[in-house]
Amino acid sequence: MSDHSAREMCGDAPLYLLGLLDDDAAERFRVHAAHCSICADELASLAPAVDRLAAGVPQRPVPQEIKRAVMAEVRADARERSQGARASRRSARRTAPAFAAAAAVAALAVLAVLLAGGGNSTRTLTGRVTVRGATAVVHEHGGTAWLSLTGMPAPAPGHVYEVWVTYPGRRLPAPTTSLFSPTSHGVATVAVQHGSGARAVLVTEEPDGGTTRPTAAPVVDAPLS
Amino acid sequence: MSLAARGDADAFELVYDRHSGVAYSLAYRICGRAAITDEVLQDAFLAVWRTAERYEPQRGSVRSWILRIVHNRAIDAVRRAALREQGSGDADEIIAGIAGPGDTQREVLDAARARDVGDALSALPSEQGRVVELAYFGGFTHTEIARMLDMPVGTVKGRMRLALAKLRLSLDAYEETG
Repeated sequence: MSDHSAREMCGDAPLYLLGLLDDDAAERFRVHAAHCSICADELASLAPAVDRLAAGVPQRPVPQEIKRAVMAEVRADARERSQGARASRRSARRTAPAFAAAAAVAALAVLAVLLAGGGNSTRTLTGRVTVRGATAVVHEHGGTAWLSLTGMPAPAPGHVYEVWVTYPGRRLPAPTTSLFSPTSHGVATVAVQHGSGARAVLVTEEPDGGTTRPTAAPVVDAPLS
Repeated sequence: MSLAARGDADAFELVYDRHSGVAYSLAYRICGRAAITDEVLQDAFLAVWRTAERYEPQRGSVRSWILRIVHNRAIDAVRRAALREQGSGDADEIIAGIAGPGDTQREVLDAARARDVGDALSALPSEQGRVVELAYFGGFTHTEIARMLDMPVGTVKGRMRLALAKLRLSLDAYEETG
């Protein structure tokens, strides 16, 4: 970027935040702001106002048919991706049919070992759930964890499930950005952001939007270490 | 979001459930018509699904990223539909024509937060409130706004900056006292 265009972009944070820059200009501004402390500070200072401007508009119920249409397309797309991956694997097997069964058995065996916590890659830890018939499993891989739940009821109207992480020496669990509601089948898979030394994952039912400290007893308590 | 980016439809459904309400409301605020809003939301969330791997946490929250996509799509839809041509070109009439809190009072689910933002916008000096309304909810560029309000482009930009700074202060204060 030339000095001239950099000078022109300097001070454009309000335009960027209000969505007035086209894609190219917005990208140029992002590059500029990464090297300009004035614009970076202005972005950090003004962005919360725009976020709340968006989030503060009068709320309207979302027509259910939109979700049905979106999820139908998403699931069809996910199936295609999955079938594409399977087709690739089938193709690979056709090139070496003698090894196909053995490879499948070996893959299942490796997966079973990993899921049983015996491998170095993915660890699987079972948690406690207060809901009868529900299950909670934490998968942890290289510092990334995700929580898989089944049999979970929908939270009460106006409420959402919130994920927390506990650390040794801290009285209160730390909130995460993960809020969720299970699918209509009671299934939920949610990422768990955690720092080093995290001990456990908790889930509580909280008012919509979540809270900074738990207001209810945990319905899920799963170990992370 | 990372799971959705890897093609996990269940994870994406959670993202949809968490953010579709505010996204739909924002789109409606901009479009003002249910039929256009429905298309915008569907289109925007499919874009979120298809481009989930482009989300960068260091640039802001998932919600901000999704709302930016929704905002851009809604503005595009409004421009395509040429809704603004129904107005006379007068800034006050255009602002009045943008779907506002009064239009949707009956269906307000989260009235307190909306009221805070409405109050904060109303508390702005009128010339600052007008540029934010026209820019963010009306989708007009700063040059279009400058022409409408008969003021230099630099002044429009300056008023946007002042308006956003005041909005942030006001909303921070509402949260502290709320």
